[in-house]
Order: sequence, then structure tokens, then C-alpha cells
Amino acid sequence: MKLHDLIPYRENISFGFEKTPVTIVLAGITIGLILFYLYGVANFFAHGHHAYNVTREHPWGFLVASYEFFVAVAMGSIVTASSGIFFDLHVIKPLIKRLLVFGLLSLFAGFTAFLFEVGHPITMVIYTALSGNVTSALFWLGVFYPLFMLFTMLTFISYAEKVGPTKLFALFAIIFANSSVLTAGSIFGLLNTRLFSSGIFYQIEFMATAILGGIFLLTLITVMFKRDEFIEAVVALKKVSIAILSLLLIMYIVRYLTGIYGSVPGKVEAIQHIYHSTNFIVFELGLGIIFPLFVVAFGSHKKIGAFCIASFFGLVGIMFSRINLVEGIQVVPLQTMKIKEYQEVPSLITSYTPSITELGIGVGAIGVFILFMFIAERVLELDDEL
Amino acid sequence: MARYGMALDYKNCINCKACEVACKEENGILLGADKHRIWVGVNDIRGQWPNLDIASSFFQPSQCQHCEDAPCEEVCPTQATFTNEHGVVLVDADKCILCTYCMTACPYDARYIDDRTMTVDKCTFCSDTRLVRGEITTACQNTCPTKVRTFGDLDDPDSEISVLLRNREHFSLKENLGTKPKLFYLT
Amino acid sequence: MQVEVSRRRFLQGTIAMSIVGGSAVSATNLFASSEKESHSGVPKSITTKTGTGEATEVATLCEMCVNKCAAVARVENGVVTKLNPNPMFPKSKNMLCPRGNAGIQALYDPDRLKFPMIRIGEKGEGRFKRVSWEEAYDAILNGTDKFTGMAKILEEEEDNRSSFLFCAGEGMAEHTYKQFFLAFGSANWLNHGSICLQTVSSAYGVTLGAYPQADLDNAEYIIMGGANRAEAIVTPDTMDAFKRTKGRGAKLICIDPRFTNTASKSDKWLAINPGTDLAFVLALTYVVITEELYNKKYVEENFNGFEAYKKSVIEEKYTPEWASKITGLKASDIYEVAREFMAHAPRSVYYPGRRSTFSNSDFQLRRAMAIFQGLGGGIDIKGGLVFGKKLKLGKHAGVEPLYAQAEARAVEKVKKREKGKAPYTDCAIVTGGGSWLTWRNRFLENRMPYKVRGMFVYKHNPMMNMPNSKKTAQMLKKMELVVTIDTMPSDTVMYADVVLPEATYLERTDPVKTFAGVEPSIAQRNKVIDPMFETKPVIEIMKGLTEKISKPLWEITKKFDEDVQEELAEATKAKIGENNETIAPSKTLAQAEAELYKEFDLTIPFKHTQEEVNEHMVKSIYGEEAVKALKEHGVFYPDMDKYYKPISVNMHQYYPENKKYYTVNGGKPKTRSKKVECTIGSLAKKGIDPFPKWKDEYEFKVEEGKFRLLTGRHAQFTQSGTANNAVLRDLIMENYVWINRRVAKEKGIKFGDMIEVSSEIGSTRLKAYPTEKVAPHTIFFVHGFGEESEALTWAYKNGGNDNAVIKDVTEPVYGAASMHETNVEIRKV
Repeated sequence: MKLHDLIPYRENISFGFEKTPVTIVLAGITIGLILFYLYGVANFFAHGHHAYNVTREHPWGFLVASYEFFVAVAMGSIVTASSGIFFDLHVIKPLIKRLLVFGLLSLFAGFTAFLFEVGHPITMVIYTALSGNVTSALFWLGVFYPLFMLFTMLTFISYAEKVGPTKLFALFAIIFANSSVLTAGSIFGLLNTRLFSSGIFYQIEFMATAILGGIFLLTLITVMFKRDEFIEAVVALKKVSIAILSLLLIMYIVRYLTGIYGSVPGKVEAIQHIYHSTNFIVFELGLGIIFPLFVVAFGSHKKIGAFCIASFFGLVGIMFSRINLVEGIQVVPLQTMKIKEYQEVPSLITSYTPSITELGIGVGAIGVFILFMFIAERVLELDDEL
Repeated sequence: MARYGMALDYKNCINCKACEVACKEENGILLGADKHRIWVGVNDIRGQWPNLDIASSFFQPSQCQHCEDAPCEEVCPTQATFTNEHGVVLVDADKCILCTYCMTACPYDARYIDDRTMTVDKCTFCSDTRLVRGEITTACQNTCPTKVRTFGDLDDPDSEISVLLRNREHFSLKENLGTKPKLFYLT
Repeated sequence: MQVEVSRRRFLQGTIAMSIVGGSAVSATNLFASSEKESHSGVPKSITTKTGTGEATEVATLCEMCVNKCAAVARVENGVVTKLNPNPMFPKSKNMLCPRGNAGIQALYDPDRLKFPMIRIGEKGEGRFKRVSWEEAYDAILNGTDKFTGMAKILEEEEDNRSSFLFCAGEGMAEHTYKQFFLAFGSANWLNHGSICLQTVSSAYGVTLGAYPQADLDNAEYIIMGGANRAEAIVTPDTMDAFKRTKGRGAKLICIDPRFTNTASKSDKWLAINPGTDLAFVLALTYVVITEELYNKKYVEENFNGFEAYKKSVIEEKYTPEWASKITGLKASDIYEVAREFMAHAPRSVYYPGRRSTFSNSDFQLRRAMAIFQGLGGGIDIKGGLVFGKKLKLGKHAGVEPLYAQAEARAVEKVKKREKGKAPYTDCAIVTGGGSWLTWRNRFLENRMPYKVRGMFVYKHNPMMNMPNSKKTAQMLKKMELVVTIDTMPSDTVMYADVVLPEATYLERTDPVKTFAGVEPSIAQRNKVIDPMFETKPVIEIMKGLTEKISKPLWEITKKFDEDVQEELAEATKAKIGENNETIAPSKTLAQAEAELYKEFDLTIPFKHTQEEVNEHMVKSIYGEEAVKALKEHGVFYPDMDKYYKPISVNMHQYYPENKKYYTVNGGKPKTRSKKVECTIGSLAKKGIDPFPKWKDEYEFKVEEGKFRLLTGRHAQFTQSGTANNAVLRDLIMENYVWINRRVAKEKGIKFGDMIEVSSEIGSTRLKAYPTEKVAPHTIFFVHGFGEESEALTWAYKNGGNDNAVIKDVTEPVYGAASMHETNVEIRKV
């Protein structure tokens, strides 16, 4: 049993690439982001948790948002690919291996951000296993993600090497991908204290944006390779993305209305603060939902470039959606009394901005992700044998 | 086994903050204004001078409520937050991974990060200092000038706290969230 | 070893710190100058956690303020890890306030004075050199190239002992220091009285015979005018009062220009104009007189001179309507308070109050309050004002020689004494504690009857505690020899010539003290750990100092003191009887000197240790068991073992109800006449109104665009003494100036903006706190911040200093500082 039987790596591995304006810019951006990432990591090792701007009242910061973003993209890519396997969707077939690998890499990139958010990652691994708490969404995250990764890898190997029950693995990959994302949404949904997110909204929103994320990633890859069979896939998935974008738009509208209906204290301030902010209106709604919706609904598939731009902004929109979520659950203070004479009465906690370290690690992880993809592209054989 | 709770005659409270300092001294809490396990909340007064609303100005000492149905315990992935045999909610620093999920789940802002161990810390009813030495009083109760606090065994019908809770009306904070706190404010 | 210590190194505290006594295992990392600071700028590790291992517990008395609450210090491995309340003391009733708990940080303060120092820089620069105790005493006696020594000064002043000023703050060891003062023979003694409770204690003293306590545990109706007991904690008043307000047994009326925490706990708050309380009390008196609500029988039997006062009140028409215009209160409120007070009398208390004089009318105000209390008959009775009983203590002999050359206290008498006018230029009466402000100002203006050239300061911080700190700095600079005994490098210490470090209260045993009251007791402060570094308790400092200076000063006395010379001359002659027989042989000069020296030997009061002195004072009256109880429990009173028992998890019984000393004088005042002295003729002779009368100059006036400055207390600080305490700073990082919200809005001032408060004598800067708790014509900020001593790491330039702005206005009776008579301007910077 040779390694090549398990993992389809290339015979000739070379890291050169065709130097077009696009690729050079991309390479530059990637290197810049990676340097930013390394700067953030160095800062973290120098100062520890104090390098972050998180406070007692605002314990979750940009890194949580960044991690949830990568997770969404990962889930979307892998579900798309696995559905292609399970449901025999021929249009997606050319992209399956890439999507599976890139999805997994997105997960790894997310972990590099998550690693620095959790204070004691080794303790986490040990005690989640030893004394895990079944009522905790984070615990279930620790159950589902390994399974998700396992079945993704199995699906990939099975599909690439044409061994084993590929369809079965793909099915489990879909199931555990969905479980993971639902659990990730539940982290926020099960917080009874935080009226902004408590309920079912974010479980569903996570699923929807995850699939969207996968489709957006798929589109971007298409643009990189400019192959006709890829473009067919994008066009086929157009209907899916229109459906999901419309669904999200409706969800947001309804949520906003229910949120401000009747001024429930704790909920209405958070909803108003987030939904009236630039972060939401311009980035999450405008660039993330409405712009892609229009492009995909009315754009011509000859102009794949437009789809690419729409996908890019769509991904930006998903990132901001995560940022707004993390903000929204913490903007309303729980302790509304002064605890010292000489302070102002606690009002909305709007003072949090990510520190350079957090931005470095969170945004820089994108560079890491691109690097991973590049390496994977060069090392592994991701095209189907013709 | 004793099940501990605390009754607070909060109308006695004069906001001197002796309890805050005693807690820090007894339990070796770090200095730093946001590093506190307990605090006295000050309700800012309403009205305009000289017609100020006296009744709106009150002081409410608060801390971890040692909820029977603690949301922090529900969300902790490693069971680092647990309830011991005395009903006291504690944090096992060895198991805490600093995910701070408990901090977002707690309705009372009771938790903060202890910089020395980089784990989450909060009021422990002086479990590892006074209770373990056999003194059934907490540092905050003991030092209070106007004797706001009564700490004791809720399961003992003859304990002072049980008698107080039977004979006087009381409320708890954020009862609507269903956390079943064990701090009772006597009215 | 002589090590030149630059100010920077002194600040960093990196000099080898020898911790004397106790293997302080973790004490070194309690001095976190090298440790990383948390983001609040405070070192991380100055808190100690209590452990479960071996520990010793020592009964002591707190010294973070004047209340002396009983505490039990827990010591583990030589480190004090916790201060717990000592439940056995009736006065403090089983509690410790935030400062009491923070005593550990005062003990382990990295900035505290560690060794004696002498000045090598310019005065006020704060440049000192570390020296040994011997060298410090020598410097005091003989001076250095930078300052003159005591010997030279006394030599030049021909043994005028009053050329030295002695000043002290209140403390249990103040008595020890005062013994040195008495032995030294100066007549110039100044203490905190004239910047604290002079007017109130004297006013009640002349009216009721003594400064009484209030039985707030049983009173049904309490008027607190300006006394902010929720923040200016006084034991046991604070403990008793606030459990009973808001419909739980007592009705508390809070009269205060600003809405304090006491107002928050009260049943009614009357927002009075600053300094106009006298009009309020006169109006109350008017109501109860005209509506005949007062206790006529009591007044008939127990008042002297009531008719004159009554006539004045009625003729001057001190009606509530009149008072309403002056005080800003509603007339209906004044009627209501007067009627309710008398309805509950004698279980009504017009709370005497304690702190600094507010205004120039303060003496008359307190007199009026005492008289009003008497009108209700609530004197020396349960639920009213009480005198309580005082448990006796044995005496400790001191030395009080008479120096012929020592001049009288340096006061300035008027040149032409007129009857009915004050005999002194600054005030009418000079008391034991003197008048600090006027003394200082006369010293600066060269209006002293003789030269005062040196001063000793013990546990006292004139730079921070008196109005007009610029002048205080000038005074300290003008003094040729300034010796300070302190625990912290305060602003005053920075102006010293010789600095003697005292051990904190946790490192010494102090004189046993009797605490009078309804439940009297005796309490003792026992040493918890040995003094750290090279600090010493004041009794040992006095011992060392007197051992050094006693003989040399005696030489000077012999040179100039004619009485002494005469006595010596007499003693060297033989005593011849009527029949020419020798009754007593002649002595040699040496013998005579040796004998006479015993009266002038400054070391005599300090020959015994404090423990020995305490034992002696207690044993003679209460026996061995009391000595043991004081050592073990810190507290003793007769039948303590019978009476003391817990009655709940928080409370204890100290005396059974029928054994408490509510009435000790038959319900009568403690004046010599046993009557309330309503009209005092001797006051009139000195130019003071014989009974309280309103004067137009007492009216509250603030110019347009200016504000009246008020100062006061928060429960977390004791004046300037706690400014450097790391854990207390967490509670209040710095002081803020209270500005009315509407005024702030008008001026565009937001929370946290830097404001400059200025008056004619100076200015200070601090942040703004817009609030409706203060009137539009008033501002307030808490006293004790804005230190200029760079040696205090956290207190240095932290917040604003009220005494940089408050003018040195003194009230006319005792020359006490009127702290609320300054109008200031504010502007955003």
C-alpha cells in the first residue's frame, strides 16, 4: 500500500506559478496577510491575553468572529462537494476534490485563529475528552468537528483513490458538517442571557451563510482557473445562491421587525445598535446580501468577473455578519448599575475595537488559508483524470 | 450536607465597600478595578436638585449568585465550572480553558479573568479560605459595618438565614431567567 | 553605612530592605516595584491570600482613621494575611470598614518610610540621605551644614523652650509624644482640633458640660446636619443608625447641601444652603417655643438663662419663613421637623456632628443645636444624647518641669483690651489645641511675640490638612529645624530636615485606652509583627531621642534658667536650723545637679516599654485578668465574661440592656451647674454672642459665575493618609469635582473633562463629575488628593487638592478653620 494510494499527490511538485497581474497581486496580498498574521502571533506570545482588547464585560472579540467565518466557508465547500458525490451532481464533479481539500484547509485556518482565542488549548483537548459537559455547545463542537474532519478526509481519499464506500462517507460528511454548523450557531442561540442571539435565528443563519460561503469560494476558484466546466458549476449553483440570499434577506427583515417590536429591554437596544450601524447596513446587508443577489439574479454568466466580485463581497459580508453577531451579544451590559461613584452609568458597550493583535491573527489567517490552498494545489493532484 | 446561600438586608448598605476590600484581602484577588469578585451596585439617583428622588437612590451589593440552575455550569465544555456538595458554584482552574463562554452566559457579570492563572474566577463563598478552616462566615459578611449579609445553611430550618427567609419578603435578581439564584435580597 | 540616596532611588525602593522580625516568606514579592503592573498602573501582587496552615491571631486596634475599631490580625509565616473584625469591642460592634481591611496595604506599602533620613538638598526638594538612628538624633541636636540643630537654637534663644512648636495628629500614641512635649517644656502645641472638631466639642462642652454621644440605637427621630455618617464612619453611630431608617424604627432627617450617601439612607433630605444651618436651628427653636412644644418642665429645672434666649428668638422673629429665605428650605419642612422632633422627644436626637467647622457661625450653630436638644429633654437619657460611663485607668507618670525661660504660648493679644471684644487678634478663646491657621499666618507675618524656630511633627500632615497650602509650604521653609515622625513620605515629610520613620500600627503596642459610652470598655493595641526595616514605634523614638538630647539640653537650661540656678545655689548651701544646727548638709554642685536633674530628665517617661506601662495602668484597678484579656482579646470591661455573648451570626451582646449606661448624671447635663447653659455671660465679655443669634454676615452669598466649594469624605479614604493605598485606589482612582449637570451642560463639560478650580489663593486640577446631587451654585470634591510628594507613587499628582484652593478663613471664637467659606471659579482645560 503506497502513500500514493491514499493521498493523491503529484509526481512533480513545483511551486512556480504563471505571473499574471492577478496572480502577482494575489501573491502580494497573501504575503502581506501572512506577515500580518505572524506579527499578531508574535504580539500574542509577548503579551499573552492582554494583547487583546477584550474586557470583563466584552469577553469575546474578533477572533471568535474570524473563527466562525472560516468554519462557515469550510462547511459550505464540503457540503457542496459531498452533495455532488452523494447526489451524483455532474456539474460539480470537476470541483469536488478542490472543494473538499480547500474546505478542510479553511477549517485548519480557522483553528489557527481559534488556537489563540482559547487560553489553554492543550487543557481543552484533554478535559473536553475527559470531563466533557453534554449540555455545552462547545463540547459538542469538540465532538462534531473531529467527526466532520474525519469524514471529509475519508470522503476525499475515497473519492480520489476510488476506494471504499465513497457515497457513505459523503453522506456522513454532510451530516456532520450540518451538525457542526448547527452546534456553532447554538453557541449563540442557547445563551438565554443574551437576547440578541437567543433563539433559533443563528442556527439557521449559520447554515445558510455557510452554504453561501461555499458557493462563493467555489466561484472564486472558478475565476482563478477559468475553466469552462467550473463555470458550468457556478451557473448551476446560481439558483441555489439566489434562493439562499433571498431567504437571508427575508430573515433579516423579519428579525429586525420582531426585534424592535415592543421594545423588550436587552433585545431592542442590541438589535437597534447593530441594525442601524454601518457595519450592518453597508457591509453585511449591502455588500453581503443585496449586491450578490443582484449580480447573480441579473448578471450574465458570460461576465464571470462580475460573479467573482460578487463572491468576494459576499464573503466580506459573511465576515461582517460574524463580527456583528459577536458585537450584538455583548453590546448590552448585564450590570446596569454603577459600581463606583465616579463613573458614568453603564450604557451600551460600544467601545470594543479589535486590537492590532486580534486583527493580525484574525485577518491574517486569510493569508494563511490562501497559502494552504496554494500549497495544496501544488502538492496534490486535484483535477480529475481526463 | 449544608447548602449555602446568602440573605442581604440591602437597605442597610451604605456603599462603603468594606466587603469588596475584605474579599480581595481574604482571597488574594489581584488589584485592578475590574478584577473584583463582588461589588456594590449604585443606582444613580433620579430627579433634579433639589427635588431628588430619594427612593431611587439605593445600593445593591452583588456577586456570583451561585445559581441552582447555573447557566455558566451548563455551557462550560470541560466541566471546569461545577457545583460542589454545598451548593457553591466553583471553577476548577486546572480544567478551565479560558473559552470565556461562561462569561457570556452569566446574567450577573459575576466573572472575570484572573491574570495569574489565565482562568476565569468569581466569588466562591470563601470556600477555599474561610469555609475550609471551619469558619462559617464569608469575608464580606464578617466585615460589613451595617451587617447587611447573613450567610448560612439553607437546608437547616433553624439556621438564621432560613428563619430570615421565612419571615421576611425577599427577591432575587433576574428571576425571570430561571437561574434560581441563592442570593436573597430582603425587602 | 552612609549611602547617599538620590530621590529617584528612594522612589524605586531598591535599597536593600532588611525585614526585621519574622521570616517573611512572601514579603519580598509584596514589594512589586520590579513586577509588571496591571493596566491600572498598580503593581499586581500586593494582596495576600489567607491560607489553611498555621496562623497566629493577634488582637489589635485599627489606625486607618480615628475610630480605633478592634481587629484581629492573622499572621502566617510572618506575613499579615488578613485583618478580621474583633467581635468583642462594644464600640465597633464587630466590623471593619474598607480602610480597616486595607491596613495590610498600608503595612506593605512600597513607598513607606523605612529608615531615618536627613535633608541634603533644598527644603521641599525631597532630597534626603539615609542615616542611622544615632546620626538622626545627632542631626536633631547638633544640626548639619544644611540646617541648624536644637542645641544651637536653644542656646541662641536662651533656653526659651517655646521656640519649638509641637504638632500632632490624633492617635493612640499621641499621648506618648505629648509626654515629650510636656517634658521639653514648650508652650506651643497645635493639633488637629482647629481644623477638625474644635467648635462642636467646645460648644457642647460649654453648653452641656461635655461633648456627648448620640444613642442612635434607640432614638426615634434623628436630625443629621452635615454629618455624613454613611461615608464619614463613626463607631458605633454608623452601625446603629442605618439599620433603623426607612421605616424600621427611626426616622432620619438629613440636612446637607449635597446629596450624600447618608441622604440616600435617610427618610427626608433637606437641601440647605451651605453654612446656613444656624438659621434652620433658630427657626426650629422659634417653632417649638411659640407653639409650646418643648419640654417646659425640663427647661424649668435644667436650664440657665433660657429666658434671655427665648426673648431673643421671638423678638428677632426667627420664623421658618425668615429661615426659608436664608436656607433655601421650605418653611413647611421646618415646621414639620420641629413638630416631629418634639413629638418623639426625649427620644429625639439633633446629632451633634463632629468634623471640621463649616462656616464662621459654627460655634453658635452647635450651641443652638445643644440648646434645642435640651428643649426636648433628651439629655443623658436613653434615645437621646448620652454621656456614658468612662472606665478608669491608672496613671502613667510623666515629667513636666517648669522652665523659667519658656515663654507662654505664642498668641497675639490685642494692644488695647476692650471689654466685650475679643482679647486676641485672631480669636476670642485659645484652647489647648490652639488655632493652627492663625498661628501659621502670624508666624509668616512676623507677628510672633518671640522667635519660633523649630518644629516637631508627629502623625500630622500640615501641607495637606489646612487651607492655603502655599502658606503652609512657606511656613515649613521658614522653620529652621523641622523634624517629622511619620509612616509615609507625605507632602509635609518632603519639607522636613530630619525624617524619623515610625512603625505602622500593626508593628507596635500602643497605650491602653478607655472608651467611654453607653457600653464602656478598655482596649489595647497589641503588636502584630515586629517593626519592618528600621522603623520604630514612637515610644522608642522618644526614648532614643531623649537619651541623646536630655543632658545637653540640661546644660543649656543650667546656663540660662535663673530659677534652676537659684535652686542649685540653694541646694549647695547647708540647711541651718534655728539653733544653728545642721538640718541638712550642703551638697556638692554635682550632687545638687544630679538631684535637680531628676525633674528635668526627659528620658523618664520612656524608661519602660509600652507593654509594661499598659500593664501598670490596668493591673492597679482591674487586676491580672484584665491584663490577660487585653493581651489576648484586645478588649476588657468588668463582667465581660458574663455579659459578652453572641446573639446572632452577626451581632453580640456586650452589656445586658439594664446594665447599659444611658443615664449617668440623673438626666442632667454635665456642666458644673448641672444645667444647660443657655446664656453664657463670659462669652459676651470676649465679644461672642452669649446665646446664638443670627448675623447678616452668616448669609450664604455666591457671586454670579462662581461656586461655593464644599469638601467632605468618602468611606474609602481617610483624608490624605490613605492616598497611596493600593487597594483603596481601586475603589476610587482619583477624586472628581461634582458639578451640577445643568451647569456642566451649559459650560460644555462632560464626565471626565479636566477642570481647573481656582480661587484667590491658588488653583488645582481634577476631572469633572456632572451630577444632580449638588446645587447649581455649589461644587464639591473629596479631600485628601492631589499630593505633591513624588515619593508617593500612586498619590503623586493624583486628583485635586482642596487646600490649594480653600482660603484661610477662620471663625471668630477659636480661630478654627472655616472650610466652606470659599467661592471659586471653574473652567475646562
